[in-house]
Amino acid sequence: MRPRAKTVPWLRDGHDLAVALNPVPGDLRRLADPDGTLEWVLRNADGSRTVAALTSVPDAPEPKAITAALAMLDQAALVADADATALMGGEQREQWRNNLEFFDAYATLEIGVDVYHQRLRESRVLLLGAGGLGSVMLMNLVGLGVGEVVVVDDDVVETANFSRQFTYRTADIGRPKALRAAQWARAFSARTTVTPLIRRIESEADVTELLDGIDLVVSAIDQPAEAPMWVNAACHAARVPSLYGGFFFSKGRYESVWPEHSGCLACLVLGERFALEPINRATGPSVSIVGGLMALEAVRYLTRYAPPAAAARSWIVDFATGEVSEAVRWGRSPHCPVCSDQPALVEQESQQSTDDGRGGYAPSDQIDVAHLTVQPDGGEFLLGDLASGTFVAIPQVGVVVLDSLRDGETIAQATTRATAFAETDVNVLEFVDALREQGLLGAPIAAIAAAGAQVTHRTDLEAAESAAAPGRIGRLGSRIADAAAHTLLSPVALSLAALSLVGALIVMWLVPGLRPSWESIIFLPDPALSILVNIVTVVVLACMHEASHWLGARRLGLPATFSVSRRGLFLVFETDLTRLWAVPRNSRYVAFLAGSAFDSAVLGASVFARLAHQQGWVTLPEILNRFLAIVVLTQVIALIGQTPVFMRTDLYAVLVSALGCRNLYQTSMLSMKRHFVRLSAAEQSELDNASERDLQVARWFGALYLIGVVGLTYLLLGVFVPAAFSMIVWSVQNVATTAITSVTFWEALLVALFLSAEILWPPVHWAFGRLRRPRSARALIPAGA
Amino acid sequence: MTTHDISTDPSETTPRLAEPRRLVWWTMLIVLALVSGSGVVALVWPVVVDSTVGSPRSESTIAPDGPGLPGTAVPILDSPHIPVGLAGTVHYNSVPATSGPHFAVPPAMGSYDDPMPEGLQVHALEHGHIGVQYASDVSASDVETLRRIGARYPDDVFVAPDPAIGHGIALTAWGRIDTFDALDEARIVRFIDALKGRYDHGWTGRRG
Repeated sequence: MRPRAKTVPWLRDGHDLAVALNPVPGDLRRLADPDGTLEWVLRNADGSRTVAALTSVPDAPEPKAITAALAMLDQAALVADADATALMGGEQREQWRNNLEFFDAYATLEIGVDVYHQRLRESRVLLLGAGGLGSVMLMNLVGLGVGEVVVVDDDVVETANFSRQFTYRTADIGRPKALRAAQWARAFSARTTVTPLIRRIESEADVTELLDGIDLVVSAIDQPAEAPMWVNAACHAARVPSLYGGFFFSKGRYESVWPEHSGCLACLVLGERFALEPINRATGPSVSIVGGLMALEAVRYLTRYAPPAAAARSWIVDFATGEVSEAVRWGRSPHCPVCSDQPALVEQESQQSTDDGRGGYAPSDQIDVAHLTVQPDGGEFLLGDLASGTFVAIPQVGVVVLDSLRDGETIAQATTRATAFAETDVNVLEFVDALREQGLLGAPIAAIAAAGAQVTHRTDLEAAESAAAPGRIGRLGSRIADAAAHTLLSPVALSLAALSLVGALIVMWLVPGLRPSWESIIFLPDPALSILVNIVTVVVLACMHEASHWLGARRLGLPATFSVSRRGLFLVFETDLTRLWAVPRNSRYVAFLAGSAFDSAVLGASVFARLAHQQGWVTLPEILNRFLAIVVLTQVIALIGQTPVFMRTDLYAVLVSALGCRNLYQTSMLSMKRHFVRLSAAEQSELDNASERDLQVARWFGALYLIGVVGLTYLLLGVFVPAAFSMIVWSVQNVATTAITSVTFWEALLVALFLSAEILWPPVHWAFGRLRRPRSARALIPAGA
Repeated sequence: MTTHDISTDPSETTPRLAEPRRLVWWTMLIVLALVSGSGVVALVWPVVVDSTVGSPRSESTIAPDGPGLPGTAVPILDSPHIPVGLAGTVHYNSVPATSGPHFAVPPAMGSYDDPMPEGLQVHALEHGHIGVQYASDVSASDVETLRRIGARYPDDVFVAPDPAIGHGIALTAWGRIDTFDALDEARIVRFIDALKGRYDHGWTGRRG
């Protein structure tokens, strides 16, 4: 293989190469090329050297870099194999030089231009009709070098044909079109065999008997009106692709049918009801345009340089405006009298294989959307799957699509509804494909049924509990949890929690001795035992904080994933509240703030108890009084810890919801990061696709984020790290200076292990947000901190 | 968040932000870092160091005395942090101790049922707190009174038994001590009010 860079204009733009794929200014394709390897390959891969020879050029980059660059350029179809263009030579190459140049744009290192051309040379096309469209098709097929064309027509050349049928001469008037067309072709190029058949198509059987060895059928006959449907049925039976075209008042149209891959003409009910108009308004330009488009579609089928563009898609050419637009894209009807015999799963698999290897639906598919929730949010709608916790924002027309699918309609029917709603073309197929990529949609209903599975509809909680199996709590536990959620998070309880916080703050302001203090930690004469009790207290309270979030979601009838994991020697509790996107904004706040409500209630109770003891109103056991000081310290830290909105804290979640943002943290981080370093392509893409609202808020939130990160970094380096270090050293000294048989030794050992494993880690984890990055679009709302 | 796929508007994928001026932003970040770093170094670091290594003796070997100060001044010892295992090797110059080697962690204020290790007591005094300790011959009602007094100073006073005293009650502050046999609430309150917060890793200049 000798790589050859294609002749396309390009220029360097910073770290990118901007490749001009079109003469239209601004139509550039950017390729990241920070180290210049792509540029080097474009300059040096002239088709004269093999890859190995390229790597030995004096200023060549590393061989691996060259290989990677070639792969990247190949993916962009900017390199081809020079060896693959030497299959033929001389006169043939000269005759088809421009065709080869056309294919060169689509050639890759694997498939050279000659491969495409050879496929044409080996093709047999059945051309039904040698009138306006037929003659244009014939001229194009012969010009392309198709191996054989069988021309079928029973008509004779008439004077009226000369406005648009350029293969005939006046001397041909009165002679059979098929014969004269073949004669023209022979005179034009002997390299295409044109077989004329003077025959009238009067049934499906007439078509069927002509299909032996045919690769493609072009239906360019307008009479009888049923002819296209006969062709359609015959071609479906023989699994031969077919191409159709015609004119309708002031417009032309064309479409194709790809057996086993697309719906057929009979699937499109409208196609049956509206027969072609008997008045022929076709002109030279109009047949040239429509015929040209059809010929290009024929090349797609015959060479596979690109997927068919008109398979079950009707393209309309407006002769007034010159616009070519898609009129309708339809799927295969399960009730189609012609093609409903194909197993749905086969179609699905075929569709996948034709779609650049990326899974996709067919227009005739019905999709189960019963498990999805839709929630208005600002100007958009939040679509989500409660079971997986995946949520995305969609416009209103997306909701129309989902309603249609929910009604059991096919994607094609949903397209019709969405198009009518939006008053513009809506590509529903791409929309549902995108949702499937996000994991929101599964296989088509027919495919599931064909695979023997049963489509079931579960309630939200069932789905969630199925998804969160480790967190399943059983029916009794579920009832208790629901009762607790409604009681502990009732408006009265929440008001009490708020009052509790306010009261605690007032008491601590008035009585300095009751304020939280680091000195509370060693509350027993045994320092190591004090630290161990303190660790357990922090863990238990953190667990209850997270459990409160979980109850908050439960109160809304929503599932939340409560997880317990281990980090070092510490247990870590986390509640995933992502599913709150499924409820209106105002309903989310209770769940977001439930953890802090718990902290407030505990803080208030502890402060008031200590106040009562201090004032002599009650006499607490002294050890309890000192322990409550630890609780106060812990809860104050917990509450303060939720306030930095520039972290993924509870208050951040509240802010995001209140501001109508989607992914504010990531957007702010990226928009701030770009001020200091160049973003990667993936990061830049993520930022470019961020919602307008996120970008708008990120303008000031990003500054807050930056200041917060700097401040916390100093707090970490200036306070937490040295303090933790000194504690670790002291604990190790305790271990080293006490007898192994003493309790103190083992207590000190435990403390040393805990501190080493944990004290240095949480601040880092906290300061830099969840180091475990959320997966793609998931975790739009963070887990309760 | 990428389901704008339903839209056919190509502008959605085009950059909407102007190219930043990175030099300006780097300058701002460095200034911000320096300012906040200076704050940490000036304000927070000394506290961290002090609480980490303890108090050196070099500041003063004798606590500043003054007219009307309750109790008696005691010479101040070197006061480094020591591990728990070395506590038995330390000899203090008063009973209870008023300065000297101590543990790296201070105790919580409040009343204790068990004696408090000297390593914790001294750290409490180093933070300006007051120790109220009693021998085993002090009656239960007097102990309760001592605890009630201590409860009125929840972040300043610890109350604990101390068999080493022998008899009576001992009040301690950093470099200062007062001992007496019978409960005298006014004397105790005066000692606390006069000496709490007078020292905190250094003489604070405050009185009471």
